[in-house]
Amino acid sequence: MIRVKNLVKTYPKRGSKERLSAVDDVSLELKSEEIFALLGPNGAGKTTTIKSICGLIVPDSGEIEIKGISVLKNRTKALAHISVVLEGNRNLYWRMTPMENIAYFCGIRGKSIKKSEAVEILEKLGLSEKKNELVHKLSRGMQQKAAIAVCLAADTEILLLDEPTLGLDVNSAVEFRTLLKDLQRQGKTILLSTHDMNLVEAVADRVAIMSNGKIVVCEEKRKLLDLFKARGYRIKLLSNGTTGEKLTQLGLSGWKKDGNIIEIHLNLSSAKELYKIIEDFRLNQIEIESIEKELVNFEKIFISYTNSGSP
Amino acid sequence: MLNAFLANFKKSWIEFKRYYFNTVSNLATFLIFFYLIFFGVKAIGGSTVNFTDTLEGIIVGYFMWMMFIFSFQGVAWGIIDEAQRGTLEQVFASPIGFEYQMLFRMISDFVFNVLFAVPLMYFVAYTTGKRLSFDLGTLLYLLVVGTLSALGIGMILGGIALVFKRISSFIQIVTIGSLGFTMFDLSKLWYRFLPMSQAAHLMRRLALEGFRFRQFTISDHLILWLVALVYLIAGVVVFRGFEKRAMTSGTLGQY
Repeated sequence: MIRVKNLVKTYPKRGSKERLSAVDDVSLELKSEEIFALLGPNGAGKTTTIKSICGLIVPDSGEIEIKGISVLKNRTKALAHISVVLEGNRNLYWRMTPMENIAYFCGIRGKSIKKSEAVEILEKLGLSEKKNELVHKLSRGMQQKAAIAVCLAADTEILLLDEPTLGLDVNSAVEFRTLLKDLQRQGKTILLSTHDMNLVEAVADRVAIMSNGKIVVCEEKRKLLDLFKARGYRIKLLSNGTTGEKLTQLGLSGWKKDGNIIEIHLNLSSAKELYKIIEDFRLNQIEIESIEKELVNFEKIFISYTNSGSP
Repeated sequence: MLNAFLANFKKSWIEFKRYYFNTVSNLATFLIFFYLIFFGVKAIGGSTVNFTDTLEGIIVGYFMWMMFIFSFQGVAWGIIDEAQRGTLEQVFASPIGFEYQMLFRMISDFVFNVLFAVPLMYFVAYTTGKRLSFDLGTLLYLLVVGTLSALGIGMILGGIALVFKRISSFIQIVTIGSLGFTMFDLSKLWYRFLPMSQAAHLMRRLALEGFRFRQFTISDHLILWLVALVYLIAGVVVFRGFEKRAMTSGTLGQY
């Protein structure tokens, strides 16, 4: 549905001939009816990638295709297949109501929408009571919902959502996850850019983690979680006075001592490594109290990749 | 395209209503400005000033200028306003090109401006003791075609606004300069190729000599249309250039 190949975007650095890299050789491909999440810290290049896909930024090089149509060569034709919610609360006219915004943004796409359809969309998002309120009178969360309603009203096959849960309260964020899954079931393809790890864990099929303008990992969410689950271990050892010294000799650091228990966290690349460490403990007469697989969430995966570029 | 036009038309109407104070203030400012000139000159010149023969021309020229600046300022301020609100990128993300959206807005604003300006023009004539007796159809024809060149200027200013954002001082300069275009005595041919000059010239003939559509020569009509289309096309081309620059530098949504 969306194919981005070797996307590069740089900006001139103020007062210098140097150029700052915003996106560096990014390639990704979205399959039909999948929810694809772009994760990354601020300045990682997520928004530049999304804005390039919807033709708001012209890249230095690379290719972007939406349903086989080049965004760079045939921008308006490609844009007919996508609708976008951009980051922040700047997607709507504040002196117009949600209903008027829906009608306007559908209209400028060349579509007309019936009032009943617009109300139905607002109802889905719990906004029907506010349909005739001016947007500037709505709360930040409601404004975000209204922006999402405008995006849904365009009824495109592909939705690009840049930080869609920003400003939503807990209940609304949970409802939003359900809504995204519903949309996926209705055949929509969704590209998310977000900091919301709970959202990614709940809805994403595939995840790309970006750091410093590059994609450091792009994998199915389940595989990433399994990979990290397999690696994270919390081992408790009985301390007998020399245990700490022995651990240091074995090259293991970062352990904590609590009474006569030493706790150590290990990230291992394979199960074989675990057996080797157990063998080392046995040879050094270090008594193991317990071994637990660590619970992994996306926060851990994210930090692991963005800190080092590799797990 | 029709839906896009209707959406922009409806939005213009909503904004005319929601920002009614601004709409009324704009019209009142123009009215007050006219009276200041009219009564000011009369007060200074006393009985030696005789407007009788030229007043119709002054009124029509003034309102032509008003339509002209409302049109090109509308585009430039529209873009600045959208950049400030942050909605500019959403409009750009539409599959119907931004220049079309601008064009639809300009047409919508033009319709509303005419609806306000023409009665206002008759009101001014009435309060200054003059009765406008020219052909309204010919006036509208000249307003529509004449304003096309203003739209071209507006597109150029809009393009500059896309890249440089804060261009209010420049808009003011163009606004004052544009007064000259509507006041030029077209003794030399090239004067006619300035934006609005030909339309303003024909409008003066309409007001002072009672000319009608059919009484203008073919070359009058040709120059009128040629000037309108050249400035409009130039406006679109220049706008596209600035648009591409804003997209390349990533400043489209910034203010």
